[in-house]
Amino acid sequence: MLNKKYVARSLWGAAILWITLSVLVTIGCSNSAPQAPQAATGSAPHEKGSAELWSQTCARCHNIRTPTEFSHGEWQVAMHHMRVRANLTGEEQRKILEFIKSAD
Amino acid sequence: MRRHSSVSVLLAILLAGGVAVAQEASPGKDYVTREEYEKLKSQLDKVVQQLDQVQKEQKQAVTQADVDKVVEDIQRDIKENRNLVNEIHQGFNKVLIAGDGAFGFTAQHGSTTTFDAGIAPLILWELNDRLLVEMALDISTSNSTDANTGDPTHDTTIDLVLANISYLVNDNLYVGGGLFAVPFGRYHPHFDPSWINRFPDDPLVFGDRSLAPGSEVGIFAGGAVPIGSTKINYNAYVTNGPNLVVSNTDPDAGPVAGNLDFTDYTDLNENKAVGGRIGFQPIPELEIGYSIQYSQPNPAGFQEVRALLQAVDAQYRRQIDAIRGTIDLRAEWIWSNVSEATYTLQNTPMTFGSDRNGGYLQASYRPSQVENKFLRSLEFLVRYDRIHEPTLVLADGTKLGGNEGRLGFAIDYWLTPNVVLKLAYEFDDKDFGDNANAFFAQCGFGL
Repeated sequence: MLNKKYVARSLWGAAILWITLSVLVTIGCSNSAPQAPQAATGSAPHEKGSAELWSQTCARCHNIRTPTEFSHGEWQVAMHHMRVRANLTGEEQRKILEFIKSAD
Repeated sequence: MRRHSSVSVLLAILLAGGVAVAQEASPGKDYVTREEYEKLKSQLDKVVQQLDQVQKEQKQAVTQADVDKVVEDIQRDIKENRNLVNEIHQGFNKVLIAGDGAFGFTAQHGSTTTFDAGIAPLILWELNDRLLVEMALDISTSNSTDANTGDPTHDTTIDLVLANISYLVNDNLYVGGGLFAVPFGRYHPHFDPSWINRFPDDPLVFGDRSLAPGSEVGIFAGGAVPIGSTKINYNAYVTNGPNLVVSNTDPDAGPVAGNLDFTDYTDLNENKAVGGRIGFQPIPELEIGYSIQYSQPNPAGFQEVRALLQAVDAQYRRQIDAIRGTIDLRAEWIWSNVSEATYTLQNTPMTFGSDRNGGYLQASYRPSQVENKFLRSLEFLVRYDRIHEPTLVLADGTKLGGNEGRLGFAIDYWLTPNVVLKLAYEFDDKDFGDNANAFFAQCGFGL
C-alpha cells in the first residue's frame, strides 16, 4: 500500500514537472517571438500611460476584451462597473475609458 | 467650369457651321479655297480637342474610390454621432447586459458522470455618471432526490446573487447598499466567473464547505488611493452576516452544525456583521491583501456565538520575455473561528467550537509571446487547494468534517478573450470517505 506522504510528494513532483515541461515544450515548439510591450516594473516613479494602465489593470483578472466589442456608451457602463468592482481610482477609470474609445 | 466648356464647344461648332453656310450662300461660289479649308480644319481640330478634354474631365471627376471614401466618411460620422447621443442620453438607454455562463462534463469517482449547464446574467444600469445599479442571477440545472419518494428530481435553481446600487462620491470613494459581492479575499469578487476562473470548479474553501461569504445584504464603501507609484485599495461593510447552523448533520444538505451558512441572507438576530479588506500594490504586477469579518451569527434565543473570519491573499502576474509568456500566481488562505456553543445533535448535547482554515495556491503559464496562434491561445495551470476542519463524531459514530486536499492540473484553450475550453483532472485526498478524483471538461464564456 502506498504511503500517503510518498503519494503527496509524488504529486508535488508531478506538478513541478508539469509546469516545467509546459514551459520547455512551448519554447521548443515556437519560433522567435515578436516583442510584446513590457509592463512597468514600478522601480521608479512612473506616470502610467493609458495603454499601459489598461493592459496591467484589466489583465490582472481577465483577458483584455477588444475595444470594438461594445459601443462607447456600453464601455462607459462597463468601466463604471469596473471602478466599483475592481477598486479603480476615478483617474484610472477615465484614462482606461479614453484609451478604449480611441482604440476602436 | 464644365458647363462653360460645353457652351464654348457648342459655340465653336455653330461658328464652324455658320462659316460653312456663309461660304455656301456666297453667290456664285461652289467650292472653298485651300486656305478656307485649312482654317476650317484647324477649327474642327480645336473643337475635337476641347471635346476630348471635356470628356476626360468628366471621367476623372468621380471614381469608385472617391465614392467609397465619401461613404466611409459618412459612416464614421454616423457612428461618432450615435456614440455621442448614447453618451449624453441618460436613463434607460444606459443598460449593459454582461455576466457569464458555462456548460461542462464531470466524471468523478463515486458519482455518476454528468453534463451540467448554468448561466449568470449580470444587468448593469447606469442612471448617471455617479449612480450604478447592479443586478445578477445565478441560474443552473440541479439534480436531487425527493425526500419522500427517493426518486430523482430535476430542477432549475435560480438565485438572486446581486441587487445593489452604488454612488461615486469622488475619485477615491464610492458607497452603496443592497445585495453585493462581499470584498472578502479576491476569489468571489474577482475570480469566480466561469470565463475568469481558469479551473472548471471552485477551490474547496469556496465550494460546498465554504469558509468565506459570497454575497451579503447590507451597506458598503470602498475605493483606492494612489501613493506615489503604488496604490492602496480598501473596502468596508456592514451586513446581516452569516447564520450559524445549529442542527443539520447531513453534509449533503448543506453546512453542518457549528459551521456558518453564507447562503441565507436573512438576519436571525439583532447583530450585524462588520468587515473589510485592504489591498496594497507595491508594484503593478503584485497585490497583497488582508480581509476580516466579525459577526455574532447565532439565531435569536440561542447562546451567544462569535465568528471571526480572516484571510490573506496575494497575486503576482508578469509577462516575461525569457519564457515568451505570462505567469500568474494566485494564493488565498482563510481562517474561520466560531466560538464554543452546545448543540443538540441526534438527541445528544455536544459542546464544541469550530476552527477551520484552508485556501488555494494556483500557478498558470500562458505562452502569450509565441508566434504560433494555437500555442498562444493555450494556458497551463496547476492548483493545490486544501481545507482543515476538526472532526466531529456523532452519537451514532458518524464522522463529520475532516481534512481534504486536492491537486489539480488544467489545460485551457482560449477561443476568444472571453470564451475558454477547459480540461482538468483533480487528485483528491480526504480523511473520511472515498477520494473523489475527478475529470472535468468545460466551456466557460463571458457575456
